[in-house]
Amino acid sequence: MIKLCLLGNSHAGALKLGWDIVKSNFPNCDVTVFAAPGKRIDDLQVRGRRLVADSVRLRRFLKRISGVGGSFSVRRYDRFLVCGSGFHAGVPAGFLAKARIDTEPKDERQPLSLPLFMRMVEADLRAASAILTVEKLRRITRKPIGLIPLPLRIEQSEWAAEKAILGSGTPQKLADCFAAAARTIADSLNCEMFTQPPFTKAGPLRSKSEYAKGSTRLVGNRLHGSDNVVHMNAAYGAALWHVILADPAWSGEKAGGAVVAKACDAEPDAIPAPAFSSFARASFESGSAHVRASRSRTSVSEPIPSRGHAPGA
Amino acid sequence: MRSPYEALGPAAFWRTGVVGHEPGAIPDLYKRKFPITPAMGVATAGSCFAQHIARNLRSRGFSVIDAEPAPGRLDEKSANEFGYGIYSARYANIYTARQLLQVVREAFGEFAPADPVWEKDGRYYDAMRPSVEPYGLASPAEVTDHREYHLGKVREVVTSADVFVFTLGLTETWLHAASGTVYPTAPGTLAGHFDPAVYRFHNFSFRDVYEDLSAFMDLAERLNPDIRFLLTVSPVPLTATASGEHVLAATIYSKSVLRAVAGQLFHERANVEYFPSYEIITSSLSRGAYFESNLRSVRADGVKAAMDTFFAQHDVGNNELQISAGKKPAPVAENRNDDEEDELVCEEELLDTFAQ
Repeated sequence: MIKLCLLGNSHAGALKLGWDIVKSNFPNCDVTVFAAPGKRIDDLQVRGRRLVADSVRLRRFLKRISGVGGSFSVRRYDRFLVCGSGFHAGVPAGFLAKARIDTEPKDERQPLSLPLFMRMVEADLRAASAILTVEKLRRITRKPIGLIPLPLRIEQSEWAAEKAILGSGTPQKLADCFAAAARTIADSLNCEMFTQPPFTKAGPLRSKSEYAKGSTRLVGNRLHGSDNVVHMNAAYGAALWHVILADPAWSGEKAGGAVVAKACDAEPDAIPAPAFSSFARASFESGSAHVRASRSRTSVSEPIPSRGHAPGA
Repeated sequence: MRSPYEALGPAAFWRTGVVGHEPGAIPDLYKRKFPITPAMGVATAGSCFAQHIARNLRSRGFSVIDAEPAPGRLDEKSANEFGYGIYSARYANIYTARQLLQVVREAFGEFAPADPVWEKDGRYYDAMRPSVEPYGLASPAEVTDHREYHLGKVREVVTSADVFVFTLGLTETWLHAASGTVYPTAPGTLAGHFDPAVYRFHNFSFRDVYEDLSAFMDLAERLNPDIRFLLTVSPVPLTATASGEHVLAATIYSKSVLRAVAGQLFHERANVEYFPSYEIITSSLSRGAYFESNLRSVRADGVKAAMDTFFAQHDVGNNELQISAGKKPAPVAENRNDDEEDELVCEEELLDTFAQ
């Protein structure tokens, strides 16, 4: 049995609900969710080999969502998944209110080179809750960690920062910037990236709205308001699980169904963390902003049947 | 009176004015001509050593103008790598008075540089500041676009500064032979290609530097009548010389010219101050102890000695305010480690790689 620990913010809700849909397909995998809305997960602190909730509000959420107290040991889990505030492909667009990159027409905003823009994106992403959480984990474990960017905003979303550039060639460049910066960070922390399944996207910076319909809050099973443009539903969560668990090392399955990686239970830290080559910056330095997709998992090309949970249900 | 020297004070005599004193506490070595206060907008520019001055002014709470700040959440190292946070605008090191005059004239439409875009490996660089985009830009048009934005910030600096601090660094330069446009680095060092038919070496004379600096001050005063100037001379020796002379002799020539021009302008103009950081660091009083083992880079304690002398004249009110508010005055350089010199952005040092 592979024991997965999911740490995150409100977006962990879709994964939590999605797991209920797909878990029967992965009998050798067990998932525990530790999540709290917003940046509350920042209140996790390292104490010995444990992560400890350092605030009442976080302890309260962890109790309600995972049923555990205010701390847990990394020894109990084989692998970790992290999603959290600030780690998403919309970050580059946020800079475009005051700055522009080479694909945009000349105006009063500050012109930035793509290598510098890339560096800015990376600096911003490194301050994200998700990355801070991974850094804490890395201080106490070498076990595999998967990094999950937050989903893209839905098609109908009107975000002022993006409005001016949607429809130009810039969104793809921004998405490439995010992917490259995220990968650089993931490599530096020896993490694997699990990116949004392509079939859930409506362009480089948008999600299909059907994957937000019927999304519920992390706690209380209440629907998000009609103004929700960022939280996804159970179908999205299920799709993402299929991306993650397509790798037997994460699902505990072999092609034939046999359990793998049982050694995790015996000596978890003996599992070598994935070693990946850093290429993102090199690709930019060579003048190419195109991001190779050799490492991140977006391999699921077809929608996952929702098994009775229609998107938005 | 038997001798005109009889009535002179201790500062006039080497034995009493210098011998026995700490290099950073030489009485009366520096007496301010006008106060520089934390409330004043201070612009900085110059050669590598000017970065120390800017950093120390900032650390003491002076209002160092940053008209072109680093975007986003770039850390200091990344910002510096891209030319941000070093000087008041992103003009990188300005080694010669001619270079300073050029950029200010260009900012106000009085000058257009020749051959302003250099190429390297399919990327394009601003020839007037090739270090600020270490990976270059995608096209010559993008270089022009970025430069236009930068020149707008230079205008802001010149028109808003109460005090313009300039550290004179070099007399040697490489210029475009036909137009006289000077560049901060030799073509082919960071980018571009050296063609002896297009570019040539030039070593500025006293008259050249004096006229260039005077012209810069005249222009700045026209745009900003209340502006004042603080001149310093970089104590950092030349990394290399193309003059044909020995590098030691070339260094002494260069520094002597720059020091003489600074002194001339200090005496001629009421709004020009000279601060003797060069003397504090290079004089025989310090016995060379303020230089690193390469006899070139200035040690942190050398910077501290110079800045202590400066702030003794200019930071009195600020310290009093801080003390009265129960705050400890900000440290000056003392807490910086000895690697401060390593953090300087100094493209001139690239020449060292050509040494046999």
